[in-house]
Amino acid sequence: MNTIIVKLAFRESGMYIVPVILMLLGYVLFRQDPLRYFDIVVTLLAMLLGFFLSWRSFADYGNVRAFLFSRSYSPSRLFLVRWLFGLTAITVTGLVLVAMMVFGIRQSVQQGLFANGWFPMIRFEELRVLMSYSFASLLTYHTTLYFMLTNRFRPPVRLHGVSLWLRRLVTVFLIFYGVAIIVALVFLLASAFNKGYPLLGIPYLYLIFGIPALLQIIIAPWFGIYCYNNQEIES
Amino acid sequence: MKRTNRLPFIFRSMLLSIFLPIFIALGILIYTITIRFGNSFWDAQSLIGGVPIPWFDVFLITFPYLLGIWLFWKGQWRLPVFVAGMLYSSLCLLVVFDFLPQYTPPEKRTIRFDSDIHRGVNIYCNGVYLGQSPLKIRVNELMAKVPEWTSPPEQPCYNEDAWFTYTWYPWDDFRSKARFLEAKELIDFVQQSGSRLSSSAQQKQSTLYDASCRYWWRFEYNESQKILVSKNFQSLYYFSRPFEQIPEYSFPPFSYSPSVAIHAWLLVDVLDKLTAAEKNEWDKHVLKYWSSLRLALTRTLKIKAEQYRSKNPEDPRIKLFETALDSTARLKYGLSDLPTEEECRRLLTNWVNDSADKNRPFQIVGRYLNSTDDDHQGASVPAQEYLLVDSAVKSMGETVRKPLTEQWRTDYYRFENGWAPLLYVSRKDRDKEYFGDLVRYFATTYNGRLELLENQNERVIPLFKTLLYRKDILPIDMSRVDRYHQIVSFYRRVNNPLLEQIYRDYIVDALSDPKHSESSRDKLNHSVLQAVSDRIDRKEIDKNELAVWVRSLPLKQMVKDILLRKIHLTRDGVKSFADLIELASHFTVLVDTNITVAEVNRWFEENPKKTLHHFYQEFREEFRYQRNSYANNDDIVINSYSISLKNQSSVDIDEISVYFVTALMQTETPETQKTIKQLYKDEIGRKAVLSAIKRKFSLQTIIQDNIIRHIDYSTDYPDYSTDYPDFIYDIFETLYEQEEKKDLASSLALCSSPRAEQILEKWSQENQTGKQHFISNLENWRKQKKLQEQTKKLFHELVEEKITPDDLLPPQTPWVWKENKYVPVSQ
Repeated sequence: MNTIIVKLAFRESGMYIVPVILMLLGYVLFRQDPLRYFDIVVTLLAMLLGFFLSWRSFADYGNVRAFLFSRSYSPSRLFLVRWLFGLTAITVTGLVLVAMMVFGIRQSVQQGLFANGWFPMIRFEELRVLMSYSFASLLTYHTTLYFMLTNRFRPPVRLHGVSLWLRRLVTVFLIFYGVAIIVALVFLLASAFNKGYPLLGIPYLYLIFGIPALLQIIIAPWFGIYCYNNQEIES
Repeated sequence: MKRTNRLPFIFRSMLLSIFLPIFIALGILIYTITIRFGNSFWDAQSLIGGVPIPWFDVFLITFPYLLGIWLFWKGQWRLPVFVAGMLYSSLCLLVVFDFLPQYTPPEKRTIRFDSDIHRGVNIYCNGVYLGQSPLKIRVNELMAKVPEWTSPPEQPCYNEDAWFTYTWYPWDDFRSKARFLEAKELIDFVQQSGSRLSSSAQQKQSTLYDASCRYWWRFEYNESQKILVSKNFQSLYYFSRPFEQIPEYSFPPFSYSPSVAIHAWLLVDVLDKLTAAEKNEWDKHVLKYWSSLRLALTRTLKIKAEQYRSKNPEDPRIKLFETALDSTARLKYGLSDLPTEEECRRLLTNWVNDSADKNRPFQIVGRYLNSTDDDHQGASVPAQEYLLVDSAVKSMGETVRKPLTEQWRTDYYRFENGWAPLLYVSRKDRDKEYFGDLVRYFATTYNGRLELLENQNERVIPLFKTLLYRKDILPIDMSRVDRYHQIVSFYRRVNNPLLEQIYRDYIVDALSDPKHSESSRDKLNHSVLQAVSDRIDRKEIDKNELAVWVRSLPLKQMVKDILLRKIHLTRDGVKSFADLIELASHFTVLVDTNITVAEVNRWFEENPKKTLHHFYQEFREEFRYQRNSYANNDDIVINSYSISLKNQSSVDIDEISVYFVTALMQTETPETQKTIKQLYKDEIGRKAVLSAIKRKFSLQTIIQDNIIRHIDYSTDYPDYSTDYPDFIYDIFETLYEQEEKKDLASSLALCSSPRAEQILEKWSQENQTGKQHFISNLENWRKQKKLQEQTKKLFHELVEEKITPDDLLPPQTPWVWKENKYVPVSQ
């Protein structure tokens, strides 16, 4: 059963996430300057990865939704397997990035192709870029997930009359706003970093993005199960 | 029923976690703004439609928080309101901070004394003690506390020679025109200030002060009077935001004590007469006054050591002066004579922690270590400002290695500024062992470039090759040829024999690129000029080999000539008049003309009776006024003449020509004397010579002044050690104009030669007006002499606090406010 759900999730999201992952790996492999705590390209690609994973895995367009919810497995299992699929994709991509740096693949490419003098000194130091990667991908993954689930959430009793189109409008607006705010914060931090306060900014970076990312990982399964058990399904 | 209307808790929690980054970031932003703007921000009243709305800003900032908390509590389906509220308040924040004018009524503005004024300065206003710096006080509080004075107070002294500085002493008017102005007035003032540079003392008075002032300040530090110096207007910031009004008055950050120079000379003069116990007292005394004394003392020690070295390079006293501050540093930093590892570890940790507290010295160390372009700061500041750090590093020696390596690794994440002293230590050492840590730090922050590239590890070679071709240090849209000069300039200060050849190869490649435009080639020529000039000053570089290399470069002929002349001068020393001109050009000019120095020299040999002015007149057409990229911070002696001649206006004596004559005065060769005497015959030359004598500049002073201007803005350090060459006294004796004598009397009072006393005595006995002026200068001279003879006694009195540094100052003529201007009491 789990395999079917995973296959479905991969079929839906594969053609979006595979190019993004390839771009990410290529960038990390061929970038000649050291990767620092904050890297704007890694961050944007990670955000794209998180967004595609969430959007494609949880969208269920057409009559897929009705089909899925008529199967024998519970909505909770459906949600958990999908959610874990997204987390696994993010983790595996991160591990591949780590392997490229730790096992010296990036170093060999850089020294062989570009005679890059930064290596081997920074071979392990560059692992710090994983901070940008993980925060950006996890936050975007869960933020998009929230909007994907609330879109079909059955509201409390007195709000049954609120039309679906209004709630969709609000959802789209929120997605736009949420993404805009996150991008703005990312650029704010990027500009602060470029002005020469990188080490000074690290604790703030953990505080601003690290704590919410951790919180979301804890809350998301309960939230997702709750939403899946209380959603409106078209006939 | 009401409970069913709420969204489930898990729903609200997820929502909150999504918006949490925004909430945390806004909190940090508000905290930062509060710290930055201080009280005045929170008390600001926003004028919207002419109606003042108090606390409006506070409401705007807290609005998103309140809304968020309320929605989370209520848990209602009010997300559109929430989102709209967030958007609205974010926009409002932008408007408030960036666009809306902040108007603060004058009586609510804050007066701040917390910039770089030394901490612990006693502040008085109209004789009322207000407290110690850092201090903030509202204008209305001040007015309630301090009575107005209806006219400006008597000034114990006034320096007419002040150049763009305030030298009112000790009273300083906080409402003076230049100090705090509204934006428009300020623009007018700055526009006028250009002409003020050459204006008379009285014009300066009327420009800077008026009789409407009611509040006058006085500053004291360790019982010494302090004077604020304003060369940077704090309000210049408002030029970029012309609609903004001033919420607070921030005093200029630079100040100095008039007694600093004489105090420093006394402490240096007494050094070789002290026992070990007395030296300990000396160290304590120096530390007590260190913040105000540091620049003058380090400079004076250096000058004194040089004086002894020029007479006898083997003199043991040279070392005494050069190492005088080592024990002071050990005392300050708690190091024993042979520091242990534990002491070193503690000191390094303290440095890191201190600098986290925005400790200014280390910030400047950081600036020094990271600066790539500013030579004044880069090359000279540490020797001045951080002699104590330098001395401490010397004292720690080899012992510091292990603690330093530990510190590099354990405190990696800590405050960025904390790295400055560590970088400083590693740069002194250049130990290969630090290389990996330096690379990692640089890769993370792009700070510490020089320390990394000057490391002796051989891995620096491939790294430097990579860095030379890096793109992200320069704007991406810059073309290849435009990047060359920036890269040459960027790395020109790297001093590492391992990299020298790579750097030179890069210069050759850059110059050989056929795609250069005219402007990119000019810029590159300029960068190469600077880079090679840096190398000329390095002792370890073979000048002959450098000259051969410069000849082989495809540089512009003019740049090549300048460089070859500089190399020649450094290698062979000053041997001819041409060399003297060249020497002057080092400090004041880059000769931008097609006349070679050899021609100038030849012309003077052929026309022994003619003056420099004749030379300029004869060759006026040959001078081209091209204030192009070659003229950087320096200016041009010959150009300054040529401009004036071309404009057919009378040639004024300006700073530059005085520098030129000063340069000539430095070498006491018969040829120099002859030249100066020749110049003296000419009206222009005469004025220049007299001005140079009056300034009593030495070349070293010029350099130091340039440094100090960048750091402390205290330019008025008289030099108590150097004397005039003997032939200058001959010039004094030929003076006949009363005004000239009056001008030079105070300079003469600072000389140590008995001839100065004779001349002053002669002038004071002559039956003429202003006799009192000469008598007081004679008294000054005698007091100065006495001071030189009684250094040890005075030192003990200072240490025992029987006298203050101000008591060392010669008596001054008081000035009083009369008919809308200050006049000396004697008039």
